[in-house]
Amino acid sequence: MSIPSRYLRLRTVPGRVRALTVLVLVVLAVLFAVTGGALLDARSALRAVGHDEGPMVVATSDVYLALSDMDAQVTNVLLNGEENGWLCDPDQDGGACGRSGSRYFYDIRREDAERAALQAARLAEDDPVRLRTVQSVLDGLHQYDQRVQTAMERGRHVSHAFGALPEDAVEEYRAATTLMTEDLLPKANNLTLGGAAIVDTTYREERSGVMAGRIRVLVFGAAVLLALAALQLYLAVRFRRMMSLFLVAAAVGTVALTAVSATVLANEGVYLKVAKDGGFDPVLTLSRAQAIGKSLDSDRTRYLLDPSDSDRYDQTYLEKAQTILYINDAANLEGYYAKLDALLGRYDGGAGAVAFRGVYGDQAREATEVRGQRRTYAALLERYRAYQRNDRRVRALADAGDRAEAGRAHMDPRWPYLPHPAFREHDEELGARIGSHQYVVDRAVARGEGALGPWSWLLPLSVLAIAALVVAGVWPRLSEYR
Amino acid sequence: MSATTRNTAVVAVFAALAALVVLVAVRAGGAETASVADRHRLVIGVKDDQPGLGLRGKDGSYAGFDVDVAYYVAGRLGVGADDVTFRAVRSDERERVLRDGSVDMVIATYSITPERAAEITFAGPYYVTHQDILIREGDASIGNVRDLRGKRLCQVAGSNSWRRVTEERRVAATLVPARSYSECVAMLVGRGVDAVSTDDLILAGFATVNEPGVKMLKKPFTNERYGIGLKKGDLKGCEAVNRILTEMYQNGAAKTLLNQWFGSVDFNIATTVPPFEGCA
Repeated sequence: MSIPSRYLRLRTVPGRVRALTVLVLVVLAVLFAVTGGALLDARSALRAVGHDEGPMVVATSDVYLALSDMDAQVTNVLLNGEENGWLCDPDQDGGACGRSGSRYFYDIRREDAERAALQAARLAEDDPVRLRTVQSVLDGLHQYDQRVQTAMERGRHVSHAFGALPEDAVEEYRAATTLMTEDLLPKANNLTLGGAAIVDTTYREERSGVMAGRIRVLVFGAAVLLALAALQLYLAVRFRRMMSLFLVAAAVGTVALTAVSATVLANEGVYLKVAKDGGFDPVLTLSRAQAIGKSLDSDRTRYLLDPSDSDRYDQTYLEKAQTILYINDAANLEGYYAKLDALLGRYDGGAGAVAFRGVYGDQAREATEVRGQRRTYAALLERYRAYQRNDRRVRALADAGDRAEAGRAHMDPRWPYLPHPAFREHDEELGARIGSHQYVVDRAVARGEGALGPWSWLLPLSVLAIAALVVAGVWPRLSEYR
Repeated sequence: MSATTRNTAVVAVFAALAALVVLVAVRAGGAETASVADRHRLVIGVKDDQPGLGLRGKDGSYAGFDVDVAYYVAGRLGVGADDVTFRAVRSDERERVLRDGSVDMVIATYSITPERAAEITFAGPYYVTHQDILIREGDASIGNVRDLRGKRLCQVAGSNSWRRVTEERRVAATLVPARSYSECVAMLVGRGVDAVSTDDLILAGFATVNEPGVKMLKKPFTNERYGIGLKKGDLKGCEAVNRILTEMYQNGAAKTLLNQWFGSVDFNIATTVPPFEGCA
């Protein structure tokens, strides 16, 4: 006889019964372990997307947004010639002047940027490369402040409005804005992308853990049943009893446990997918689009403020517009405006085909698959179109030589220190889209976690109950041999 | 039922369960993806005709900024210089060689465009160049891109640069086809064309090898983002490469390489990390 048989004393009847019972219990323990493992995977994936890394990554995208806001404020103030309000410090000047709203907003956004950078640092705590990036953003912010201060001081000595900034101030401004657009914003962009990659990896690993776990649960559920059947069959043949009610109950319990936990895991997979694909990812890409939209608008302001470099600002404007909504073979800005109008005309509020790419193209294409989403994205696209229409007018005015008029057309007609209403409406609509996707994340994570809640006691309890039923089914037979 | 058959039956049940467990374990393990981050050898596609970027010497070895970036990235991925094989790629075959797997990575003045990004995965960009114009020394008739109207402009197969002049800026230059930029420069010197327009790094490369009689205009008018091409879907490799590029700028290696290859040319070299495209 082979070694396992001798070890388990398989020659005797109680030995065999005991061996089969142990087999059932061992496979049941494995079922417990794989189910528990998959449920834990689901829990940590939900936590990553909904509570830990996810919100932190979204926070880091605020670095970019806050920096863009700061640069936009600076550019607008210099364009409007409002340096005095900017430089005014009521504490020092004894209330003789009024500090402008733009300056207050700049200071608030600067604090936001620093706070968001702190989040990025927390997220990068075990990654020295990313920590150094955070550090250099904070260092660069300080340099930027100084450049802005100098530009403002040089600008205040000359009375100017709508772009007639003195050359030495333009120089300093150019240095500041180059630092912002070619050093700080790229780094902020990379921080968010790096964080998103962390969430992506965690999500992919944990979710495939959940899906593989589901298959394991089904397989080991079947294995428990198989082992139970072997035990039942042996008892039936050996002791001439057709059924042990306890063993039948154990089998029913196993089927129920397996089916329910496999269903729960499948649902968790869906919640995760919804939270990630339908919530987190759009939140990030749309936040990015919002930030790009802001620096796009600043590019137009720069174009008006610094005409000697207007070709370059036009080019960066076009590139940013193409990132937001990509139009194939729109080679220059004129072509972009015209094709955008035609394409969105054909899109027709969501009824037509999505013949464009970029962030909005991807979102609009996905929205066609979800009921009710189509119209909300159509509203966003309509506002983007209105914004570009206004920009076309601004650019035409500037090209015709009327820069003061172009400057006025670029800003709010009633409150010239505010961006144009077309910009604000588009920006607000984007904010609303981001909010609604964030709600999707929160809801899916809450539901997923709600469904997992009772399993911390339900799983061990039901496994123990099944084990008890198995033992209860075997006990009377074994006691016959005592 | 004899005792032996019963024993056999019990052992069979054990065996079946064991087999099941092994099967599940194997299935759950999954197949390993062929990411560049997991390789021990790499075939890297580079240009062989662009001085300063990717140029094949007479002994068959490659040299240039792109080549050094390739060595740097490969080294940080854990692939030593001896395990890197370079392959010359033309501009119009870069997507194909990545798709069919004959090349693992393309670092060959490869501008990121949405069309290309739909076919392959781009890491980087590792550098953002600006398109500029190379003219004959002493030619005073060309001062910026708009002066190219009516001039003969070199058009290289598979390169986008000429489009930025004749299509995007609607400057009616006469296009003269050529196979490569080295041919273009030869034509410029030989008066077959009046101007060569492409990224400043490529043009600076030609100035570095001191082609006599040509000069750079230094009026940049575009942003070209040079990416590192990877097989579509290699997100792990893309993220690893982006991290390496960040580090390359942080520790000054990028600055050293740029100065080494283009330092003798008078144009603004960026020394901070460019904004990444995001791995997709």
